[in-house]
Amino acid sequence: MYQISQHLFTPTNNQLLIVMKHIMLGNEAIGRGFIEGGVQVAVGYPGTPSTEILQYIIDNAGEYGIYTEWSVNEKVAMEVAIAGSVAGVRSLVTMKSVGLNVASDPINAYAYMGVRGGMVIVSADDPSCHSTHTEQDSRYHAKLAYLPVFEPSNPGEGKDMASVAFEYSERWEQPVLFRTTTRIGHSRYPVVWKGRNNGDRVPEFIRDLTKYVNLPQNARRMRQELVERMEKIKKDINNLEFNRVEGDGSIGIVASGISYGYVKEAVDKLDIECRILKISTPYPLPEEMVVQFLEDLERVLVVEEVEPIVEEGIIKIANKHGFSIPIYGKEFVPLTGELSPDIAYNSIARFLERPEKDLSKFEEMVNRISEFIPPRPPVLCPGCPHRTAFYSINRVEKKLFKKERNIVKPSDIGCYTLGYQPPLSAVDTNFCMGASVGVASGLSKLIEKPVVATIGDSTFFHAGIPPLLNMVFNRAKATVIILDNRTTAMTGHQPHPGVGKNVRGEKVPPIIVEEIVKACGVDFVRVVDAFDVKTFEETLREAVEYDGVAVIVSKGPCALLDVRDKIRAGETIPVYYVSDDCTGCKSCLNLGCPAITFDEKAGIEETLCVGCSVCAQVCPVNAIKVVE
Amino acid sequence: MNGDKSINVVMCGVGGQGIVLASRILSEVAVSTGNQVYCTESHGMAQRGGSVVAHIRIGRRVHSGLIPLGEGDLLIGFEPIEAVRSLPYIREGGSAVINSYKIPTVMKTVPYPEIDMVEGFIRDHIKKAYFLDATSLAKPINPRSVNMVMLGAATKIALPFSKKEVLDAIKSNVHERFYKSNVRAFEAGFKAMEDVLE
Repeated sequence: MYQISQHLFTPTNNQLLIVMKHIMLGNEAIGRGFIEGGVQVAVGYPGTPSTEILQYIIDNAGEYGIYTEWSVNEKVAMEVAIAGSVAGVRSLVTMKSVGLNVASDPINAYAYMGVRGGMVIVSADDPSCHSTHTEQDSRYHAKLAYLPVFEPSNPGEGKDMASVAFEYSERWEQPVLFRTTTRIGHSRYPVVWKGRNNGDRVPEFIRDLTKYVNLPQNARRMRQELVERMEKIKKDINNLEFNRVEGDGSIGIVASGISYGYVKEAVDKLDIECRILKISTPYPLPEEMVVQFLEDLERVLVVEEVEPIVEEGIIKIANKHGFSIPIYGKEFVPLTGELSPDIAYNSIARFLERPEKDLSKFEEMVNRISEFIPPRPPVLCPGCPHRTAFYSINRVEKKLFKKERNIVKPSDIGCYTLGYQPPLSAVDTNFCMGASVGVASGLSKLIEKPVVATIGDSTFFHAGIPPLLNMVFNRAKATVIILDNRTTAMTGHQPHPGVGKNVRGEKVPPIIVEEIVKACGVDFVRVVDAFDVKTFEETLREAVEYDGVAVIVSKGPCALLDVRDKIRAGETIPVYYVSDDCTGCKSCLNLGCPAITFDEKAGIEETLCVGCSVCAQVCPVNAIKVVE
Repeated sequence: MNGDKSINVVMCGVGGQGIVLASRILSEVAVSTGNQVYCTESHGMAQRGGSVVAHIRIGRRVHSGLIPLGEGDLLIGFEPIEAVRSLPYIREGGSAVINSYKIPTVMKTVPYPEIDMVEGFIRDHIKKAYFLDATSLAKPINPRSVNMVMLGAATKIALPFSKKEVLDAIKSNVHERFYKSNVRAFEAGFKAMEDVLE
């Protein structure tokens, strides 16, 4: 949740004003901006770094009568948002970059039709892959679907742009793609709140067959209209307040999105005169403004993260208007990874043939540190119910194949992808949401080795059911472990259809995973307790040897939620300790639990243990005991 | 009310230690004293017991939320080896306040180093480095208040804000139920540094 801060603010004219500044996380500020812009339908599927935008709106929805939901996946969320827009109210859908791939079918379709209520699609990109499997640049996607892109340069501007995005979408009858990145969404920044507008419309469906039915006879006309709408947008975007030219000189620097801050910092440090074109709409570019900017410049550098989208656009405009100056971008600015003040500084310094900041001494230091400091990547939490599944896969593999790692282990997107980390090392593949089941389906038709897939419950509901149907339909022979922890854990515990309660607090019949599995035609279905190691291993062995599709539903609550709920209920959390009986055999270390230490003998870090008992179950000499 | 404070702070530690709340409180102190602030946190996968880092940039003109390498003024390290990991961000004349309580790593590719070696490495780089066992100080008050102990210690050592300014921000950021214990934790950290400086 956001926090409020009040202070007296003295502007340069010495007039005393009272300004309320709210320090907000970028994503919360953007969510606030959509509320101010009159959002009435706000939906999405959680995904880092987008989640807090919708979460903020959900937390404040009641006050404004906004319809909110966490949908089952991004495609469905987009369709629900389209419904809102078709019904004439301002509608928002949020997702992470790769979610945009899932939603692209309805996005491309609706872009043809012309919106009624303003429609904004948030796609949160993740340069440097902090928590995403690609660095994909949503701006390309926007070009594919003819969506104007709004891209803020800092969290404060993000808030202001969010409300303008709705206005813009409605004025030009086109959905707007609102692109953020990790560093915008996960930075805190002081913002000033405004009131809410346009948030009190009554939704109404008005039949308009030639608009909303895209049979070829209508689609050909829609395509023509889409191109015409985009031409109008290209002209109007010159008037958008967020694009501007600053400063002067013979050197031009174009800064798009977050790189604007890095460019300003570098220009201050280098103490150079230059003309800066601040771009907040990388597509379409404000052509007239770009031409004004290029006038009398000698050379230009485009600073943007990931793909050269603005760079290509500027070169095209320069060419069309007869400018013959050199325009650079990715020759100086890296194509991979996010930018930083240092990287932007050095890119600009190289372009200007000025001395770069010497980063080699820092690299040396980092190397020296990595020699004696162990890495600390994210791992499965102490008490995580998924641990037993990966441990059991390894045990069954050992029993069946001794030292050969003959079980193929496709996995999926969620906390359990961390089963990749040693010592568990039980994740062989991870592609995208639901792919563990699809890949298991395919591999089992091609190879002799057993295949054991792992997928979480939220991911199963999102994209795991169609590939399971495919397995049954095509007579696959593989095991699928569905890790049912009754929440969407990785992104911060959003509810899903299996939870029995939606985000609006309504009680709904919980969808039972094993019932869905049975309905898909799977004969071998077993439900096991995630904290019963012996039964889990026996059941898995049976599944691996079964001639057909076998599904194990592993039931155990997310440790983070479980511990929180127990503390709230006044229950004590048991803690385990290692007694003198320990022989130092290291069996418990195979679990990869952060609470287990080792120094000749095993130990348990009491501040981390949450008493799941799994280590006590695997200890061959029963040396691990509960603290009485 | 001053509005002329300028400082780059790196806070680092392990997921679950309350770094995000501490960075939020520090951001609020900056704004409530009339300064601009831009703070960047690591979220997402880092929540699962991984390293957590927050950069807090305070000043009159702050263009970005990331601190350039070697330009940090203060390191608030919630865990000794995490402090080492963030060391390249701190300038040589900067200062550091570090919790000496170790949190083991799951990855045992390299053994957890001896604490003397860690302290030595940090002191070689930053002369003004101060250590305290914030976790043990917090334990009898509230085991989850390590972040307040660290804020108290940092306030005494290097933050350009008064005790009252920081405590006011704590008050507006924590639940009423925990306010008193948080103040006690803050005071414990502040006092620990007073004792060190004597």
